[in-house]
Amino acid sequence: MPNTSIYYQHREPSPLRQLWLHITANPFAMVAFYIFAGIMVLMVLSPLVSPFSSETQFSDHVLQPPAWHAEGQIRFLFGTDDLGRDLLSRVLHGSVYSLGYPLLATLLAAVIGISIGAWAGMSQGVQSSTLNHLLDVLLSIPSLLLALVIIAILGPALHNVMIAITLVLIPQFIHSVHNAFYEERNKEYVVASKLNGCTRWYLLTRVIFPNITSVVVMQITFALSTAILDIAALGFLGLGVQAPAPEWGTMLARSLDQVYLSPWTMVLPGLALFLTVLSINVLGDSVRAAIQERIRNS
Amino acid sequence: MLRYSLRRLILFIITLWLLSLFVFALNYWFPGDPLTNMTGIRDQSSYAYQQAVDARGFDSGILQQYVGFIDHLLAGQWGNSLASQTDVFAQLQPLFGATLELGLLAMALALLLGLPLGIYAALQQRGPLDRVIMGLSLSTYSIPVFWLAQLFILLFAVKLGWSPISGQINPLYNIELQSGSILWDIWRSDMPYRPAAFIDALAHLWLPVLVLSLMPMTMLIRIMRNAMLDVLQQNYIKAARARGLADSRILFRHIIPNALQPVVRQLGLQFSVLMTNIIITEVIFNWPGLGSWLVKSIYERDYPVMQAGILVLASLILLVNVLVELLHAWRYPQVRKEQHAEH
Repeated sequence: MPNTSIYYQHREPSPLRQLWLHITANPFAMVAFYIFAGIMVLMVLSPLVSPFSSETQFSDHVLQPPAWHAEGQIRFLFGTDDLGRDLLSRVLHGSVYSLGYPLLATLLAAVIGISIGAWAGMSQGVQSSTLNHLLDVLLSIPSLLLALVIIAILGPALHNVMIAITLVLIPQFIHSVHNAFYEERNKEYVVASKLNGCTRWYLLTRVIFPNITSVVVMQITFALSTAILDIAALGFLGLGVQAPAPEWGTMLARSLDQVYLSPWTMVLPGLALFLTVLSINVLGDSVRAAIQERIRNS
Repeated sequence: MLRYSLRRLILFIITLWLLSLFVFALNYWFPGDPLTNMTGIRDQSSYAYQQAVDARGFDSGILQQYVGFIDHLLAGQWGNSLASQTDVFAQLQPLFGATLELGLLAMALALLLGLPLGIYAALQQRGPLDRVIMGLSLSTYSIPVFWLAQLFILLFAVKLGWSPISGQINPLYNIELQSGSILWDIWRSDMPYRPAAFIDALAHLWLPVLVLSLMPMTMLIRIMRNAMLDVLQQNYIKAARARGLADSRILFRHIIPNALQPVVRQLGLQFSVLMTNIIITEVIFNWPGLGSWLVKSIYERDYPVMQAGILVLASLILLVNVLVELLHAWRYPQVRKEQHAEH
């Protein structure tokens, strides 16, 4: 039945809302969204829901297999590691290091990178082209190598890893936001607003920015998965979060010594890492598909 | 093309210059004495240290020091390792060969398997096999490489025993170290048991190569598939169909060459990804390459080694990126115009 309302008005959903509609239409993206939301909730509640603290040692239960194994105990659902620490608790506590800190670094990098990128996108001429060339070069060097260099200068520690990852992510944000601004800058609606006498600030925040939010969201998912993998990789190499902290990469590095005797110490942290990154990547992929569809339709 | 190449080359040289400036600055940012960080001479009262002060211009201004640094860099005098007191440049050569061998083989495998799979997935679009390939590629893309390596070692090396756990070759085969690339060294050596050594080296090699190639391979599958789908919708494909050309001829002469353009453009990026993973993979597989060398030097605070590792890895990545861009511009002239336009 056609819409009978006299005052019917066709409303174009905002870019962010379009993105959401696209994600809800895709079952895989929805599953990924729920998994990611679940992991986030577990991370926030990790001090409450984990059965033990991450450093409690049970010296009678060293290298206990998971509960479904013949020698397992239901107390230690996923078994214990070589110091008798409960693996499930460690993985839950580790989510703060392996998801919380990357999230923080990504948001920090996003704020800085988007501001610089927006400023660069509005400027033109030599300034803009030099920046673009420099960024192209900087981006061709892998983020992990850059982070390694920064760690080599500052020394391995948690706060230095945070500084390194944030610094490494900023150029990516500048690049994508700069390009997005560049493409929008000369479109008709922007020119119209300019002719209406909007100030530069209004143009930036109210006219252009809402139209590039989907690019920003995609870049955030991309940066988040990079940040998680890089922090875990640095932890794995022993150059990131230091040993007693239950960071997933550090746990994997520790399990390397006894993986042949007790493979379960390796499976759970790796699986947590894999699920987190996979859900973020699936979400990012569907955001990218949504952007492509929007470009094709316009 | 000449103008474009010149532009790229000048940009490349400027980049290398910036890189050298950065590496030079690293010596001052690292803790400790800059000259010790540069040369690896620990005893500051020794005669060698005094000589280095003279040779590298450390008694005059910073500009002289930079000139001295570049002179020594170009002459291949990269100082001694702080940990082992051996010449860094001499150490570098075999390590570089080993890394290059691993990286090139992995890239070749990724191309060899990734492109056909991508083409196949695109031709079967939305078919069951397409979904399987795309699903697998997205999940493989999300597996952290260090976990993947561990799983593969556990499965193939420990459970099945198809390959040794780590290392480059069984030390029983006394292969003389020349280029560092193990297959090449065996080929060049004149030993009676060459075939056996070759098989042993391959058994050590295939697992790290597989681990390394999976990530670029999955990305190549996705890029290739999307590019194929784009090209399939173009009018010139319809025109070719209308002219009654055979399907295979359309595929090999019209679709694939055009679909390869985005793939070529992305090759540089894929190489960067590969080099990131190679650092970690070499540590896990105990491969005597640049990556494990660099990581070890960071543990040991071995600054001369560290800067050499960073310099070589970064320049290798930059060089490959420039070469890929040149290849891309040479093979696809329409790109050149795009890049000449100011952006």
